[in-house]
Amino acid sequence: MFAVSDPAAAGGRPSGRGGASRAPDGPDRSRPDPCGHGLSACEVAAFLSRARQLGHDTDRLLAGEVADSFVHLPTLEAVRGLVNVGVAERSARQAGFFHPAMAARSRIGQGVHDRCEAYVFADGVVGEADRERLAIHLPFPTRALSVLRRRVRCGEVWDLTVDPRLLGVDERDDVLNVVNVGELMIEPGGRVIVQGNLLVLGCRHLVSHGSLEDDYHVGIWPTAGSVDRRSGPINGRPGAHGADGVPGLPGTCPSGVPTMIGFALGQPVGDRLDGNAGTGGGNGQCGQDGRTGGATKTAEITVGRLTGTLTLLAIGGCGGQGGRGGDGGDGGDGGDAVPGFRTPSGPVPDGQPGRGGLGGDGGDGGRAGHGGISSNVFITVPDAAMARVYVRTAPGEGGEGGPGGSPGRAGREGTAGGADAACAAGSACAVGAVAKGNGGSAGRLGRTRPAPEVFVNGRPSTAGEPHT
Amino acid sequence: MSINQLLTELGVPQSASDDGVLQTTIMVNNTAQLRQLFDIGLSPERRAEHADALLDGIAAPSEYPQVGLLHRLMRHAVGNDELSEADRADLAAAFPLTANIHTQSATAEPMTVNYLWDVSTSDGTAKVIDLPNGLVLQDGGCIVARSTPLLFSSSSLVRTGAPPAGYSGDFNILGTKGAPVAVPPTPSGAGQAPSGAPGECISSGTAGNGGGNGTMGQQGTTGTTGGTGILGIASSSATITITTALDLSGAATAHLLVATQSGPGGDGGPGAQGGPGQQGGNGGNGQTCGCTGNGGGQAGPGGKGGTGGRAGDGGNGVDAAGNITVYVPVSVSTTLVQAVPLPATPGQPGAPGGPGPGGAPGTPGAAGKNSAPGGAAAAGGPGDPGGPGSSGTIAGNPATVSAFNQ
Repeated sequence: MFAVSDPAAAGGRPSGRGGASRAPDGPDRSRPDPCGHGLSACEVAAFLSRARQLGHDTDRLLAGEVADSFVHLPTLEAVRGLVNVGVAERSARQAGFFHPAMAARSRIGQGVHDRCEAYVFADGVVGEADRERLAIHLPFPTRALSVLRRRVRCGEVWDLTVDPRLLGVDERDDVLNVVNVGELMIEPGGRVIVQGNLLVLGCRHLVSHGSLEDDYHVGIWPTAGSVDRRSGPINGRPGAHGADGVPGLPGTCPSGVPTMIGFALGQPVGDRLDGNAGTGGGNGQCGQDGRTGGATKTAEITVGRLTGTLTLLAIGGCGGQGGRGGDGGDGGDGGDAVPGFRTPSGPVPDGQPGRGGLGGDGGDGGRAGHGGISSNVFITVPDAAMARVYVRTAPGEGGEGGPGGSPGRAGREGTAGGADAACAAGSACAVGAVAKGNGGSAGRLGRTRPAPEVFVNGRPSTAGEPHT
Repeated sequence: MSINQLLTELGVPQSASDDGVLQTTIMVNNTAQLRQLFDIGLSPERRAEHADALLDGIAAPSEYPQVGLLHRLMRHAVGNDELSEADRADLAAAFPLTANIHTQSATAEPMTVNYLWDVSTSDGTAKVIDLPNGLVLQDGGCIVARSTPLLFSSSSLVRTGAPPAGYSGDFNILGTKGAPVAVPPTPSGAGQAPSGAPGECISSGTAGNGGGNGTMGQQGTTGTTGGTGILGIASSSATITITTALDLSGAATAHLLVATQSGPGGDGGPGAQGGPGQQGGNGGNGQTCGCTGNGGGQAGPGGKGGTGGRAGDGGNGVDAAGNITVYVPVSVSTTLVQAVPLPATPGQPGAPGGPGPGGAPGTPGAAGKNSAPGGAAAAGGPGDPGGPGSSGTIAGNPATVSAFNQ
């Protein structure tokens, strides 16, 4: 039997924006035919009772409109009053709520949320300290949506997600998303999903069919972005390329006086015929670290009557990829040498070409982000329908570390001075013994975090198995 | 002794190419062989006259201490002076030296030149040209020797037309303009200015100071001053001998034109571009402290670009290192030989270095939870261009051209 909370016990009626339901923009293909639904009179009554609890206009709902409102609930008790299950179910949920993965985070800030959510969705108790810390979130931003009948057609994704910023809070804040559907028909290939909202989805009659070994009807997804302390994209940005080395200056000819036996010089040639060495390339910057995967929030799906099967997919958020390390800068090319010449004091040998600069080292790849944390997902169906509920879960996979940057190329040796020099420009030995840089190291892998724990009628599910 | 006779004496095989031209190098092992190479069959009195003509007015600059010795060598090889034992000892290191020979086989046609025939050597060694079958300089043809001692001999010379554009002589005994000065490297930019400190959390759920502001970038480094233009390389001595006939009837001007210009000063080097302005520091990121947070810091503005380097001054021209003598047949008036002297001009200043680009601004600090990000900042402005350089100050004197009958 579907349990409906008494609005009077819910701590007050939520007030919709403007106090009225609103119709969706444009034509609605899913607008129900009031005479075409398969709901019993009792189911319709329950739907309307719930709609009244959410402050929605029942006449307009019966006329086929969709009611969608934003409210702010003043207390934790008011939030608790919107959950669709009774005492027995709450007790069953509470028994398994703090499984090891949840217990492990009890001492961090998320633990406050977990305990409050245990109070809201199960039968937990919230201490004064937790209430004080949660007070910053009150009044609690809530979205309420009612629709008598909704058909999700093949290939359609009905995304219930609400951006928290629409409710005036930070995009990383929690939002309660309450959805009240009379009859929900999910055609094969259709999906209903929510991303990172606290979900309370109540459905009087769910009709869903199709072969679902590799697919699902309802998806509980993580937040689209990371909710860790940092900012920026989930994948780390690549490191900057190291600066290229400066080419060496070429050798220069000394001033002299040409005579019948060669150039008479005013001063010793020294090393001015030699090309200067190129400078080394700069090292590439390290790639930025990937961010922690998005968080999968607590969700509740209650179904009064199930026709067909229900497959639910609950997945943790994948950690971001570490940014690629920046490539090392190329070494500067060596300066060209000047050919030798004759002087009255004998021949001056060819200048030596400048050595190429060392290539810069590649930057290390950024560390991968860890998988995101996941909260519990509760499914409540009539006992007779449990065997037709399938659960699939996936953990929050850690990201891949960013690959290290490539080493910079060694600078080329300058062109030799003489035509018969051993190392002509472009020859294999022109690069000389100058080394290129070292490649950067790959960033470390992210840690995988457990998948959401899914409970069916208060019992932990085994992924992929029907429930009996 | 003719060049062909000398080659035979030295044992050089006289295997000319199809057009009858033989090009080879010979090793001159001592001053006696050098004297033999430069012997054009003059009497002792005229040898002295020849040597005097090649060195008349040619100074021996103090900064080139070997030039005086080399003048004495020239008076020995071309004239009649004897070298002292000390001079011979000082010159010993110069030998053996290479002489570049260009001649014709006995059966070859007269050499025809209708192009710029550059007979210069790259390593300062002498060029010896002997054309026993004569030379025809057609319109557009001329001979150029840059900073190369030249000993030229031809049985006859027929000139038709005029030298090519840009050359004023049938023979152009020139110096070499000072080599270009390399562009100094642009100074590299400094690393990014310091970022603002990240925001702080007093505890989970209690935010402290927000992200600090990024530091303004510093101005880029001033570019290096361009190098001073390199001195020109002097023109060298030349002896041009026409032994039997000089035909100027088809020439554009009824003269044998001998142009002389020593080495012009090289242009000053360009100043280096100013270094880039430093990138402004990033604003410190705001911190998320559990369920609250603080704001990001403002980005630091980019630094102004560096001033460009001053332009390099132009180099000076240099005086000719030897004169030019022209011997024409006894039947030809020496007045037909006309000198075309040009000064070796000083070099022009280089281009001032361009302004360095302004530095990019830093990135505004990102917002912590429920807070605003830092403000953006502007990029730095470009630097100023470098100052101008000056032209070289000294022009080099051309050689003296002296004409004689054989």
